[in-house]
Amino acid sequence: MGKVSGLSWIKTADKIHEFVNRHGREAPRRAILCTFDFNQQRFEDKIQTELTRAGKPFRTLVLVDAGELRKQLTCAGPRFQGYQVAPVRCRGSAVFHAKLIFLSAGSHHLVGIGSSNLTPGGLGSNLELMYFADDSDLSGQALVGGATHFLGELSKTTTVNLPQSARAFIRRSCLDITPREGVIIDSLGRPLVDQMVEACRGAGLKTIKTLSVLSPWHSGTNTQDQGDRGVLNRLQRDFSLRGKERIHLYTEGRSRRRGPRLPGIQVHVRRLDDLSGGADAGDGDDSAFDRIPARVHAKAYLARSSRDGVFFFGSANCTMPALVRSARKGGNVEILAATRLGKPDMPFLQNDLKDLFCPATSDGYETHPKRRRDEPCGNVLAAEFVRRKDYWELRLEAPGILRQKLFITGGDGIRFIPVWIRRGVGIVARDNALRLLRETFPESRADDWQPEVCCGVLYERIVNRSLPFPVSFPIIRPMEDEDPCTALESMLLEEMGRLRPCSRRGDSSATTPESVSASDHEEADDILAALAETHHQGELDRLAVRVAGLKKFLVRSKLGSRYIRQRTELFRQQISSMKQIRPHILREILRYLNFASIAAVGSPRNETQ
Amino acid sequence: MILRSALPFWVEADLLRSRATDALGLQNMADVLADKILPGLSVLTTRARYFSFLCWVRNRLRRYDELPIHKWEVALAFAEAKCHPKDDRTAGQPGGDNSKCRYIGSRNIFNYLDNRDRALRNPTVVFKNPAWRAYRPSMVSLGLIEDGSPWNLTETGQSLAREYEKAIRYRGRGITPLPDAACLSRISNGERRILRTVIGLNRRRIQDGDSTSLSVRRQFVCEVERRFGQNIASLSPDSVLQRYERIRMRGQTDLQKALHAAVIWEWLSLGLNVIFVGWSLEVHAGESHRFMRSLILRLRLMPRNRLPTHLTSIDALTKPETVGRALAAIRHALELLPDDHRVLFFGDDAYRAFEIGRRLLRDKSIALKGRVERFLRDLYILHQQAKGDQLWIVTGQSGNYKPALGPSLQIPPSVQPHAYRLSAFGQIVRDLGGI
Repeated sequence: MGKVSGLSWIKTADKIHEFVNRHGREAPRRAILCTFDFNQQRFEDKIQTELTRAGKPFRTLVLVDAGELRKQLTCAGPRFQGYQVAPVRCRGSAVFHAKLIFLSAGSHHLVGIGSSNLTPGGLGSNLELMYFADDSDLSGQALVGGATHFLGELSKTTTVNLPQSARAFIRRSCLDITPREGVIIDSLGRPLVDQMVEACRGAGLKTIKTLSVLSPWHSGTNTQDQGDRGVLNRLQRDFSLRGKERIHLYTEGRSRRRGPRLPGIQVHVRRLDDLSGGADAGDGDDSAFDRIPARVHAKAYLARSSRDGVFFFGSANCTMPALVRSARKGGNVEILAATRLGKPDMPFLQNDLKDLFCPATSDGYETHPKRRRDEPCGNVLAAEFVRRKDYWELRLEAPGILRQKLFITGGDGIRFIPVWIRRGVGIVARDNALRLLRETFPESRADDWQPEVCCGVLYERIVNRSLPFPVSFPIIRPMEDEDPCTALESMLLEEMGRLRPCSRRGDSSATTPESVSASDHEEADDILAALAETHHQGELDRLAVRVAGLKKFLVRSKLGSRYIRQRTELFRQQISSMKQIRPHILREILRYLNFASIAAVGSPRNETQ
Repeated sequence: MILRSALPFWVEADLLRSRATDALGLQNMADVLADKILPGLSVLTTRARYFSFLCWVRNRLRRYDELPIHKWEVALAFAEAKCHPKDDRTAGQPGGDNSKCRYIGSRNIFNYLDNRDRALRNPTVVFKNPAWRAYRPSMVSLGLIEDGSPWNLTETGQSLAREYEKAIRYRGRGITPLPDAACLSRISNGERRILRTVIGLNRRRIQDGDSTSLSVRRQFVCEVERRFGQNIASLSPDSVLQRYERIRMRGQTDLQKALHAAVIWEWLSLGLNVIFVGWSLEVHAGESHRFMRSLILRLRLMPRNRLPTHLTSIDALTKPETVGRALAAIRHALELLPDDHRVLFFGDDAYRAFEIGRRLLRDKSIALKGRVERFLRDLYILHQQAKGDQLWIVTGQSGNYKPALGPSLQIPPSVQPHAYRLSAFGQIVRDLGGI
């Protein structure tokens, strides 16, 4: 593309690959991915393969906007295998638009933030900006803290609806990280534009000379990419930009370099000559063509003073619901990362903008921001199959419904089951639940079948329409709802880096990684065997075996004394929150774990790590 | 607190490559079924003597390297060009001298007859991908080479290489054009004996429950012999599969069930592919609404739509009659499908494809136009999942469909049925002297 010096071009999957390669052996491994739009095949081909490499699976949760996910589910018979997809529903016509990748393996974390959805476009067909950092340096630690703050707020907020198991998983993933405010700004509580202005002031930018806005101005799909000129006026006012052409808009153009007609704003559109073969596109070599993205989808804002500037990039388009309204007031859920750029950093960005964009012609087209059409999303947000002692239960979540009767059905679409929803929750139990389970997951008919993390589809009948909603075996259950033995077993399995207790033939997720020594392998097998043996024993025995297993893993951890102390504290916190354990037993467990931690930290083997 | 000097990066395209003409990704299931019918072979392994030739070449190389193998293949192509000159009028015709002699490189080799050194120095000018790549997986499966680099020969592979060496008596040094005896049609008795054994053409009793690939191929040979006698001149999906259209499920072998599944899948694939390719062509011609109208009309006249008489390639894809036949093919596949599809098929992909057909033809809960729109949207999603970044059509701003622009746009003018390795196997059997 004839660049002198500019931002680098990197594949998202490569960054994930790098992290998994370096730290993927350590457990527990968790991944949380936020996206507006979701393409199952692309995700599974490019990202999920990385997250399940060499028998080291990550427990993966994908948070997708509820409306977009419903479109995916309308396609016949989708199944999400090995990861949980959770819909996020915002108020009114607002959408969950944040794009975030959060991976944790043992004590290491990776955060990716930017404009990429988990779609073919997001993974490179569009012009997208992303930033990845792990916690190996201060800036990375700050970003990880920022992401934790956002995820923590998301799991707590009542402004958006997401399944309880997703909230529990997010909370558990963020337990051992200190959240930091201000690194990633979000629109959950306050409008982004206010926070952007504050960030500029906080960074010492007294007078802002220019504001460069990179945002799509019209969309090839029906997403939220429609720009809004009212927002530019608001930006001009809030950033105190005076005089003509203080805002530079970089956006998608139409034929013959036409851009939107915006008086007083310098409009640049995407160079079209790049798309018909750039300067580097050699004969017979289509790799150069592959690198030229078709459509502007990046979202970034650069506020500049005479010397330095503050650069915001992330998911927020230049629209009212994205920038000016908070999620509480009917805006989208958006996030932006803020970074201060010095004079040496500026040319990287400017060279690229110069290369990729050119001034628009004077015959601009009129812009009329469209309102997103409210589409019926159904009452049920999501459902989960839960195994009780000797029967199955289907738990429906329909937030906002106090008392109402709904009708749901499985794959056949003929036999409907009535379900009473009370305070947002409905339960289908025993025969009906079993029937729906068999219809949604036909493999459950096999004798040796064991539930694993996966999602299917059920339908809700509203008037004459069948509206799909996802049904899953959740990655984890909220700790307070769960039987303590099951919760402890889930914690133990996570420490062992496994998704489920028993391995099936040909199942890569349950195999032991090559890097694990034979003795470790045997030990893991011993613990699993002990777990299996206690299934028919009393509760106390089961608790004891699970706690002993946890201690064993803690003592043998090679990640250093600090890590062991942190994990012990974490386990203590989690176990303390289990209300169903009797107090005297709880006291003993906590004391036992404390001793374990002291024993481990005191041993010379761990100190040397 | 905000970050300092943290510069993001542009996301480099992470493209998915796809099969050129498999618009809906239905080939995957056909491959699964082909593995049950003729495991260890492929549609590209059409000549038996390539196996012995490649064993001989691998035996000559001390160290494994693909380039010399490619050069030897070009040397063989020169020998073939000499034996079967271009002006031979009988070329490719039944009964002609070289009717059996299809070889890789026949398209370009005649341009290099006067410039052999150049072709041997840079074999990619004659053909881009060496035959070794296509034959290697089958050679592993037939037990001629070991699995994994450096692809050493097994004992059987070494015997085959020795037989080939004995047959061609090559005395040259370096890589030079091979003698006439190297021709793919002049297979020696020693080679034939070994190849018939590894492919499963030798008379051998099949043990009950033996499910090795050799045993499955042997079962297929017995099955073909039972149904067609010794005449296997025309092994094709059309001739073989249609005989398994209506069978009783009880008491059938796995192979017979796989053949039955293949014919059902073929009708469904043909129907869906014809409609999708026809629709794509109309979208490119700016006439997608015309196609939709035609589809609605044909759905209304459903009982009058006639099934295609043969499972062969279909062209004139945008004609209303063709659309009607495609719908009839889908209906026929759904009629043949047993109540529990898992008896024959497994995996979500098969279920999804049948579900798309079922929702179009049998779900009467919504109006015809809505059904057709949903059907086309389902096809589009299948297409997206199959083609990755090489889409033929894309959705426009208002949800309408428009032509995709790009360097790799290839919409075929006709729809071919899946081959199930039947023709390739027929050619190999002919090379080895029949059943």
